Amino acid sequence: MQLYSELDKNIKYFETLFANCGDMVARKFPIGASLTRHAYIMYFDGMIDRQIVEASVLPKLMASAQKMPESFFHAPLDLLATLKEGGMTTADLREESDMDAIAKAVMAGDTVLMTDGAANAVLVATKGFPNRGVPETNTEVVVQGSNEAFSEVMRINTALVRRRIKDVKLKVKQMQVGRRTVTDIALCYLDDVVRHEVLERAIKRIQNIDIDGILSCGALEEFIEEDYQSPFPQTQITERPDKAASAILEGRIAILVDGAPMVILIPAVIDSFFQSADDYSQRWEIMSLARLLRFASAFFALALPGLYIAITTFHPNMLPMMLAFKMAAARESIPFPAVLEVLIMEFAFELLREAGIRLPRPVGSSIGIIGGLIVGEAAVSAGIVSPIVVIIVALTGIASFAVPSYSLVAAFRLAKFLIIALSAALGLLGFWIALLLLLIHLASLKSFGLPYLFPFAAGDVNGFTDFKDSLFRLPIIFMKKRPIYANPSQRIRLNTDKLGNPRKKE
Amino acid sequence: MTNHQTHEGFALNNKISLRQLQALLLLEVFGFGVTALPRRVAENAGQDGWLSVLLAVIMIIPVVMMASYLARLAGGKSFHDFASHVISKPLGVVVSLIFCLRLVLLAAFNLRIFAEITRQTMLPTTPFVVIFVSMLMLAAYGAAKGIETRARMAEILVLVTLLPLIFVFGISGRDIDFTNLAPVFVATPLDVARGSFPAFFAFSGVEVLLLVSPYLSRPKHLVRSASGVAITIGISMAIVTIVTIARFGADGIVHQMWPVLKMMDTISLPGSIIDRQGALIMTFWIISAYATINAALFFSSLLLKDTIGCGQHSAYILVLVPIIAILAHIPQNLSVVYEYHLLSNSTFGLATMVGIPLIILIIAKIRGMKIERN
Repeated sequence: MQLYSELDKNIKYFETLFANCGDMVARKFPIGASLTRHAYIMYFDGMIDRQIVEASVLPKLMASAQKMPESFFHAPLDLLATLKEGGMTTADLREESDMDAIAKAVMAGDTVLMTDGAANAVLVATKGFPNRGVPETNTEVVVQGSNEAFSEVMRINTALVRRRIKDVKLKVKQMQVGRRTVTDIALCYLDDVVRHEVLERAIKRIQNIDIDGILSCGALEEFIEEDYQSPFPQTQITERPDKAASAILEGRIAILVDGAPMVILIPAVIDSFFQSADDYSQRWEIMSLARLLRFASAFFALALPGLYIAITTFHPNMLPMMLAFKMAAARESIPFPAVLEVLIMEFAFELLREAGIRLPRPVGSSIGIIGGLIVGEAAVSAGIVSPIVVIIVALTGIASFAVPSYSLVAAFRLAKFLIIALSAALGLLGFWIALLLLLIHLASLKSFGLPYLFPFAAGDVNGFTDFKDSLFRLPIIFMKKRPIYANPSQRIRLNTDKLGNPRKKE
Repeated sequence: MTNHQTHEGFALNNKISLRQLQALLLLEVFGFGVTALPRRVAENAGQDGWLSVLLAVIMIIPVVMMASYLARLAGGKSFHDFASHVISKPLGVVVSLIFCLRLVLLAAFNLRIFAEITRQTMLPTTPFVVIFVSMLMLAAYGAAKGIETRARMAEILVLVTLLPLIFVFGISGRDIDFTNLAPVFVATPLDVARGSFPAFFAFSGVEVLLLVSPYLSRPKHLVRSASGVAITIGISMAIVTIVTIARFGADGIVHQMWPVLKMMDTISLPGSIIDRQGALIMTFWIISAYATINAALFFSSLLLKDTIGCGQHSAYILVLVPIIAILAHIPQNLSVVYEYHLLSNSTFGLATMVGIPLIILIIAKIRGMKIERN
C-alpha cells in the first residue's frame, strides 16, 4: 500500500497500526514561516539513538523548515526534497512510499518523517539500541591472541569482521528471516574466494525458511545443514571474530544472526572442529603435538568406557597378567557388572556437567569439589564402583574438554553410550560394530557438498595439501594453498618467491 | 555445472575416484582372501606354496584387466544394460542374475565363516545368530548409504587396517625362520598349479569391477589402476604367505584353520600393554568381513535393481538380507561351508570371473565396440 498525499490520512493509518505500542514516539508539528503546514515524525523509543534525532535531525529540521518562504509550499513535493537535501545533517537517508516498508523500517530503529502533500516519507537511519559493546571471549579462550568476541548486535559484528579484512571483495549480503521477528541475517564472504555453489545453496536455504521467528544461531543452523537428524554438527559455531575472519579468508562463509553473539561458519568438515585460534599464534611443533592430543582425546572421549567394558567383561586375557590381576582385585567386591558401574559413574558425571552449567559461577567450583572429589571418593570406599572405573570416567570427561568444539564433543558424548551398549552386549565385536556404524554415518555426511570426513577421505581432491593443517599444524610457510573450502581457481594464498631463504647470509 | 566442480567431483552424487575404487578393492579382496590362503596353498604345494600364490597373481591380472576393460567399454552403463546391449536382453538378464546369485552366495558363506571364527576365538558363549545378524545389519546399513559413503569409508579403513598390519608384519621379522622355506622348488609343477586354484579364488570379489562403470567420475585409467591394485594385493598375499610359512613351517600350517590370524595373535609386540593382539585381529577381521559382505550386498542389490528396473537399491537390500541370513545358516558346520564355498567358486565364481566377461568381450569385439573417448 502506498502513502497518501494527505498527511492526516497517513497519521491515522500509522496510529491504528501502532495502537497500544507504548514505546512509540510520534509527533505532529507545524512547519513553514506561516505554520500552516505540518510534518510528522515517528520512532520507537529505545530502538533509536536519541542523540542523533534530537541533536542533528530535529533542530535542523525545525530551523530550516521555519525559514522557508510561504511561496515555497506551492510545490508540495519539493518540501520533502528540500528537507532531505538541506535540513538534515546525517548521511544515511532514503525515501520510501510503501507503508509496509515504512512500518518495518521504524520497527528496526529508523526515524520516519512525513509532510503535508507528499506521498513519500524520509527514513533516517537512527538505529541505536542498548547493547553491551564488544564483549570478551567466554567459551573459546586462548592463551595468546585476541580476546574480542562477537556481540548480540549484528552491525557491531560486521564491523568486527570488516576491521580485520579490508578488502573490497569482502561482501556482506543481508537477508531477513522470520515473519514476526524479521531477524537480520548477514552472509560475509570474499566474493572471489568463496565457492559459488556453496554460497548459492546457503542463500537458497535461508530464503526458503518460512517461520515465525529465528532467535538463535542453532535454530538457523538446523535449517541450513544437510542432515538435521544427525547428532554431528555440520556447521561450525564460533564467538571469535579472528576465527571468523580466518575462515572467510579460506573461502568459507560466516553467517551472522542478529541477536546471537555467535557466528555460523559454513562449510565445516570434521577437521575444522579440531582447530583452535591459538594454533597459529604459537610455535608449530607444540601446536602439532596439541593437535595429535586433541584427536586422541576425541577417541578417548568416545571409546574409552566401551573399550573398558568390552575387555573386562569379554576378553580379560588380552591384558598383561599383572594388569588383569590388579583390575580383577579392584572389581572383586563390586556388586554390579562392569557396564552398570560405568553407567552409574557416567550418569554422575553428566549430571555434574549439566548442573555446573546452570549454577552461578561462584558456586560452580564447589559443585566440582563436592561432585568430583567427595562423591567419587565415597562411591569407591562404599564399594559401589571400582577405582579403575572412576579413572576411566574421569579420563573420558577430561578428554572431552580437550577438543575445542563443544558441539562435536556433544555428539561424541551421545555416541559414547551407543558404544557402551554394544560393547556390553558383544564385547570387542560390539565395540567395532559401534565404531563402524559411527564411521558409516560420518562418511555419509556432507557439509554443503563437501565430504564431512575430508581430508581423511577424498583428500586427493586438493592434492592432500589439507593434511598440512590437520593431524599436525605445519609451519604457515608450508601452507601455500588454501583449504578445500576455497574456489578451485583461488587456491594459492601464499607467494614464497620473495621470501628467499632466511638462513642464508645476506 | 562448471568444469571445476566436475574436476573436484564433490557436486557429483554417486561418483567415486579411481583412488577410492582401489581402496574399496583392496579392502574387499585382501582381508578375507588372505586369512586361510597359506593353509590352502601349503596343503597342495608344501613350503613352495608361495609359488602357487605368484601363479595365481599371474592368472588374476588378465581377469582384472578384462573386467576393467569391459567396464570402460560399458561407458557409464550399468552391467545389466551393457550386457543386454551386447548379448541380447534375455541373456543380459540371465547373466545379471547369475552374477547376483554369485555375490549373494559369497556374502552368505563369508558371513558364516566370519561368525564361526568370531564365536570360536572371541565370544564362545554368545549365540551364533546374534553375531551374524549384527554383522549383516551393519553391512546392510553401510550398503544402503550408497557408493560414495562406501568409498570414503574404504579410504579411512585402509589406513586403520593396513597400517597396523604392516607394523605387525614388520615386527614379526624377529620371530620367523626362513629355513622353513627351504628347500625351495621341491613341489612339482602340478602341485603348484593345484595350489594356485584356491589362491585364484582368494581374489574372489575382483569381478565387481565389471559393475563399477556407472560410478566412476574419471574412468580414463581404470584398467591401469585396477591392475595395479590387483598386483599390490597379489604381492601382499605372497609376502603374507611366505612369512606365515616361514613362521610355522608348511607342516604347522596345514593343521591351522586360519594361520594368518594365528600368526598375528602370537607375535609378541615389544613393550606392548596388550599381551595378545586380540584387538588388532578383531580390527582386521571385522573390517575385512564388513568390507566383503558390504560389497557383495551392495552390488547384488544393484544388479537386482537394474534387472528388475525399478525402485531404490536399498529396498533390494532389505529383500536380500533375510536370504543371505538363511543361506548362511544352512550348512551344518564349517567344513560344509568350505565345501559349498569351493563348489560355488568353481561354478558361479569361475563363470563371473572368467566365463561371462570373456563371452561378452568376444561378442563386443566381434560387433566392433570401442571405448568412447570423451
